[in-house]
Amino acid sequence: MLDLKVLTLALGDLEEDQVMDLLREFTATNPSEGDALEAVAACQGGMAIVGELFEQGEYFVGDLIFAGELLTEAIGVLKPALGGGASAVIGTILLGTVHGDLHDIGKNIFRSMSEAAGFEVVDIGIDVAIEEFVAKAQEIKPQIIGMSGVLTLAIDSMKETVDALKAAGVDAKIIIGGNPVTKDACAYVGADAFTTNAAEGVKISQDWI
Amino acid sequence: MSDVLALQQQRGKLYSDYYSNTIPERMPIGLTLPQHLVAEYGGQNLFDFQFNYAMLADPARELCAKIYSDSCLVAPANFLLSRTPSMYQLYGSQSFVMGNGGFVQHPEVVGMMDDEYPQLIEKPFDFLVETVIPRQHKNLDPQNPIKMATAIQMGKLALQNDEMAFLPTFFELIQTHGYYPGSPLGSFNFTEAPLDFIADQLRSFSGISMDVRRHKTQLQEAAAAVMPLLYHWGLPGNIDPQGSVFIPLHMPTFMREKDFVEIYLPSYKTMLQQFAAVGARPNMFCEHDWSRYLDILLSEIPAGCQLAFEYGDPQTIKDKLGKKFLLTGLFPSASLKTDTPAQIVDRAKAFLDIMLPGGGYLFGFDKNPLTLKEVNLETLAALTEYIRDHAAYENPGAAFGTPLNSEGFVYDERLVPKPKSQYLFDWETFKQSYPLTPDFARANFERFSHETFDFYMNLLI
Repeated sequence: MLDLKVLTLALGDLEEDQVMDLLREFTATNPSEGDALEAVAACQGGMAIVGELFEQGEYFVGDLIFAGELLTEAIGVLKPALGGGASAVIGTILLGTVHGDLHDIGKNIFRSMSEAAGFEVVDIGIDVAIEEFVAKAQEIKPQIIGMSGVLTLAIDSMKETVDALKAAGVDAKIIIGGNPVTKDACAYVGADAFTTNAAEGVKISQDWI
Repeated sequence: MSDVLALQQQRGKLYSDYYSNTIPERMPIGLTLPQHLVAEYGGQNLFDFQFNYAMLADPARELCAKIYSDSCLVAPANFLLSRTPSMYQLYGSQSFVMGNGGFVQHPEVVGMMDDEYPQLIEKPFDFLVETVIPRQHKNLDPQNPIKMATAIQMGKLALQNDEMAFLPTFFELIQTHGYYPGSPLGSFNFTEAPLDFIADQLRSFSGISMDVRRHKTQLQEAAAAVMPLLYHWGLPGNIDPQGSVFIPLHMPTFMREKDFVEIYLPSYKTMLQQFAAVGARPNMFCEHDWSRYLDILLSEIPAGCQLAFEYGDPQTIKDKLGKKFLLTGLFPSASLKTDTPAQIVDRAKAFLDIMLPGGGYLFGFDKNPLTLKEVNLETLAALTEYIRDHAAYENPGAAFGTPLNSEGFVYDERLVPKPKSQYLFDWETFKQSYPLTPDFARANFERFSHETFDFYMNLLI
């Protein structure tokens, strides 16, 4: 019998061997789809702990990356037991690094943490042209659009993209993230929120849903 | 003596005093403007000049006339700071790619898998050349030797062409403005800390974050194995107090202090001590916010190193580290856009009130702006003129801080053995094949080999 609390804590502690041992023992018992979904939720709870420890300065970006990998690995083990079922999607985020910028580490961390929190994330990559953001937003109608960038010039690219989205009538909430974003930059860009902290970004997104 | 030459000597003394732990007449203010910004100022697009750096000549002359600096505002192209695209494109690089905004960037790329640590540890240089470089630079594939040889030849010529293009203007500006010409030729070099090197183009940022937990022992062994390569790559040929070994530090602020101390620090500390032992001053850029590392820096890093900071509280950093290290950085470059000339003067005054007393701080921004949109040139001009006119010391000639190698480290080749590889020159082997070669030829051959070693290593930073 899988102790969900132990699983949550093990994932929060980033104890990879313990998490994987627990899940392998669990899947060896041929669990029902409902039980497997509970295990997924327990893992997501572990990711929430990781986010809290990051905000408290106990974990750092490297730990977030490892946590994302660990979660992917954990879900991979549970997948056969999940059958066709899936966790409830709480919302859709369209995500990309703005044009002129090729950086994606921060974006990828935000993606894995958002997915762990129950969002469906449509990641359209790096150096994303304005038209691509607009076309994809019109196609999938996300509740939230996340734009990432590391270079200072990304701020102007974000503004151009936000202007084009608004001109096209896209009314999703927009959050910008990355090293150069600030309160002033957020106002200049016309985004609804900004963050340099992926965990905080996920919380903001959850509050919007 | 001409006025210009006298001015140049005055400026030279500001720097030579500073680097010999003597308080100069005033704090020097030497800025380097980003080349993209210079091109924009000249009304150019952000692409063309990167294929002909001589195009920067006219705007560079105008900017030097407009903005005060003790050293030339525009530097010649070099592969590291300019990321000269011709060379990277000829090598088919996936590590350095130009974005559609005209900036060459380093995407997250992997050059080594997590099961390849044994190969890296056993023969580091061979592994880098045989495996990592071909993955990162697609035209340098030993499976296609003619293409590889052609790409290397063309890439070297392209880089040489890029480096030379602005050089005449650079020398002209130094002569006409009496600028500090920089540290003596050959006294500047660069390298990386072992763990950053493994992260940068071998395992990637994400990969190393996994390895810190999954392959900790191998990572420690690999850092120790590559350190001597990084030491000899970074050692300047002409060591001088004004010269330095630039070392950008990337990973620590993304790690826990515990991991830093156990994995990052041991090999890096040995490397720094061996640089200090021969009088080569490490000049490390502490990227991001190092506030939680100040105590570790104080206790572990050799005295007299230069530390450039991006974020952090200037007062705290000065109080904690100012007596042991040369400090630079911290002045917020964002203020070049947001401040009026009057505002930046107030900001500079408050900043210098903290950083100037007692010496040991050299003016520097937290980071370089990239484009003209990020800089109000009138604000920048007001800032440098304020420093020129108000950064004088009350006690020039007095000693400050702690000189490099005050600890008395001794060079020990057992700690930093010279790189050996089947791909590097070995005089004894060569002499057996060609016994008539005179001994004086050895130095040349070994220099060629070292430059070849540098060439390959340069592909991995």
